[in-house]
Amino acid sequence: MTDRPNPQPRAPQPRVLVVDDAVTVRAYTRQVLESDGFRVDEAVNGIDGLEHALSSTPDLLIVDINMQKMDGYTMLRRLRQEHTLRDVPAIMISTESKDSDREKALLAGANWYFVKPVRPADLTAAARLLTGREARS
Amino acid sequence: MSALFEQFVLESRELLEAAGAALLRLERDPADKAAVNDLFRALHTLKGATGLFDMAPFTRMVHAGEDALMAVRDGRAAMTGDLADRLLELLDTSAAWVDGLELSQSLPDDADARARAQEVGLRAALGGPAEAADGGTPAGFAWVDELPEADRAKAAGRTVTAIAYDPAEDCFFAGDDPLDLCRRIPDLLLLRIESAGAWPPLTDLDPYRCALRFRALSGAPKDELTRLFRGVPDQVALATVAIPSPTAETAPPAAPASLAPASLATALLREQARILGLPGSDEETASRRAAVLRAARNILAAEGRNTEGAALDRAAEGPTPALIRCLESLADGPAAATPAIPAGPARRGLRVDAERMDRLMALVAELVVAKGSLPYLAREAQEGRSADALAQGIKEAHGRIDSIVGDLQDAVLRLRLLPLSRVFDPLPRLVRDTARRLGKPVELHLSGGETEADKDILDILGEPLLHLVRNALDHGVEPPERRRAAGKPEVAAIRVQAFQDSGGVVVEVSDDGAGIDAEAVRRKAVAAGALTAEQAAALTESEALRLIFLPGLSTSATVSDLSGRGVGMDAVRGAVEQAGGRVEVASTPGVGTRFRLVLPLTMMVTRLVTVETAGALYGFPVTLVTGMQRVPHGAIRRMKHAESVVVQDAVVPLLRLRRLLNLPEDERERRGEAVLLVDLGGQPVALVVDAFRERAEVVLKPMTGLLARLRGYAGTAVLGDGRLLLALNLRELL
Repeated sequence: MTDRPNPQPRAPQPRVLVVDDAVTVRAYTRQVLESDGFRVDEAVNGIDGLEHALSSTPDLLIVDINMQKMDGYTMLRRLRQEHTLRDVPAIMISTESKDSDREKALLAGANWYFVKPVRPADLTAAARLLTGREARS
Repeated sequence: MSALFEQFVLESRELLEAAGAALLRLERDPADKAAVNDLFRALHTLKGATGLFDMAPFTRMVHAGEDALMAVRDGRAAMTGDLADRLLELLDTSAAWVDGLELSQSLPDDADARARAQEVGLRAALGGPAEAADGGTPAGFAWVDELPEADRAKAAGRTVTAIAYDPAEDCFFAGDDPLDLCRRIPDLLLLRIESAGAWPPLTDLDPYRCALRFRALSGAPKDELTRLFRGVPDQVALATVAIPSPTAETAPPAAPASLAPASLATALLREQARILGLPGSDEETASRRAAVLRAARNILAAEGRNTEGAALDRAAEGPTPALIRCLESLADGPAAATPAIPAGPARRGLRVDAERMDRLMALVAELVVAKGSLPYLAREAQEGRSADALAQGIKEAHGRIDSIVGDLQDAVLRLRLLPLSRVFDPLPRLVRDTARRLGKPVELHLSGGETEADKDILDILGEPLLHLVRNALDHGVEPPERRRAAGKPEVAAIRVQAFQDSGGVVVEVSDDGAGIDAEAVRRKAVAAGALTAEQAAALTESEALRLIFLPGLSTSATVSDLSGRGVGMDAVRGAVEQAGGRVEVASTPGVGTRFRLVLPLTMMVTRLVTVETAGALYGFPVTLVTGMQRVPHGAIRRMKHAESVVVQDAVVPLLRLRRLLNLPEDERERRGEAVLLVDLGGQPVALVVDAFRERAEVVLKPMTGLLARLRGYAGTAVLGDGRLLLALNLRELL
């Protein structure tokens, strides 16, 4: 990759990597986050997500669980082994609402778990908190 | 149509196509696992997409398909032709709905009913001749499926008895009281009273005829209800039905109402604390810890709680239980966060005794005078004075400066010394309140409050001390009846005493309670998987007692809300060891328990036992070293790769420092081994080093930069002769 963007001394907009195999969900998440001033990157499965994360080191990960090729759990586990990515805050989002699913997500390395569908206000509030952006007044 | 909705329509069509293809593959080969997975995933993704919009019936229907496939995937159901038909029908309905959505952006009016029909059909196809309790609804009880979600919610996830009671019109004349009968239904979850038919005009309504029917759900078994309704068997129908749990999508409010950012922050912080307690390998817990710390720092920053960030940073340097507690108290909100862990700025202030300050000033003045002799010596050297005379002069100057610097060090240390009464002060109140709550009369005896210790030590001592006293009250002291029965005075005694000894400050917490049952501790440790039954049996009484310092083991069989908050004696040990001290425990069943915390006087100057190994100097805190001895080769026993040695009648594992540090083996010719005996929180270890060296008082500098990540090193220090010394953290090395 030769044409990386110029490193900015202090990125004013936190960068969020959204990993989900559903186009609609990605588009929805992007719309919600961008309208709140985040920069959004997309990846379509776990492997793609890992590659994106490794090359761009996002400020926050939003990861779906059930995906082709590599699921969200595996992706997070791998990612947590990378020195540069082990502490990037991560939110897992899935349609499963059982406690055991939440537990599995946290065990894999997530910091938070949302059950789909997530209200836009909840998503942006969590993203702001986890990236250290000041909450809206 | 919004771009998002357009996207949805496009994606849904693709997913339905993919699902259709997978289903066809599956029909050809019902054992095709990949096809089941593809179909499942397509439906799963579709369900997620529908969830973004207000189309609950669509979500529900797809969810039912997903459930059916999960049953097939898990081997709970077979892929039958009937099931395939149902699934195809579901895909067709979905496709039609997507077309409709594209045109009118809404689902057809009958969407809800059709979704239910699909659900019921799929369930029937799954269960074959559906056993009622398996989910299919028996004939005549369709009303159960049609109950509004809110009504079903009361019985969600349960197998219940459905009651359809249609009283005969003339039942009143037979002496029946239908409403009273229904009132007597045990565990009544739902009762609906409906008109038996269309209401007649009011003038035609006959109050002596029953025009009502009753529909009810009860948690009681069918047999019991059959008995209740035995008087009207011809008018009642009973069936056992399973009411499915509402899925997230079908439950009326799918997600809880949006949380206010403040409570979301609380929930997030609490979750971070919980994550730290999750099991996992060292590597996993280390990376979780890193992720948790960053998340927590960010949350505090986002909330503008910057001062509390300092408290977090401090806790982050400590053991995990302390960090968990810090996060929990941070989750409790900005106000409550401070008392648990004093924040940075508050700690910096230090009230200094004027007399001690004066002494410091006097010493500095002396030093200035002593310094004056050095230029004089330099001039004499230039003028060619004899080397002997110069050496004499330098020695004298050094002697004077050395003694002043020693005094200075002592004076500075004294500035930081505070009486232990500071940490004793909260104890009387704590004991009084807790004793009252537990109904155990207790007298607290405090002594040695005037003993002084470094401020940092006091800061660390506070929590463990509270914990030990609470523990003594909660688990140590017996209830008054039992004390009376045992012939003990009813009022228990808890003693907290502090005194100075050669190594530093000692604080003892003792009670005259029941003592710790070493056998019970062994059993618990085995049950918790900390060691095998054989290992446990081989432990001496005092070794068994030390097991309480392992994470997750407590001194009591029952965890009370008082002291059993998941952090136990291991937190006490962690805090004390962090300060360079150690914890001892002694207990006699029926007589009492004594905990002894041995702490260094100060954390600024660390007293180390130094040893040489492979040409380098290493140091261990004096508080951990229990002895040094030469051991002849013959006294070392070997078991496979493990070595051990007998010290004071106990078998102690023998480790070699060179191996721990990955250094080459010692090839020198030698008669025996130099062995350092170290107490690792109750676990004695013999450590082979090349040679013993002198004790040293050093100012430890923590490792910085890249080296800070190295495990096993506590810091570096420069000795008087300029040599560098590495202080080791044995626990981490092992």
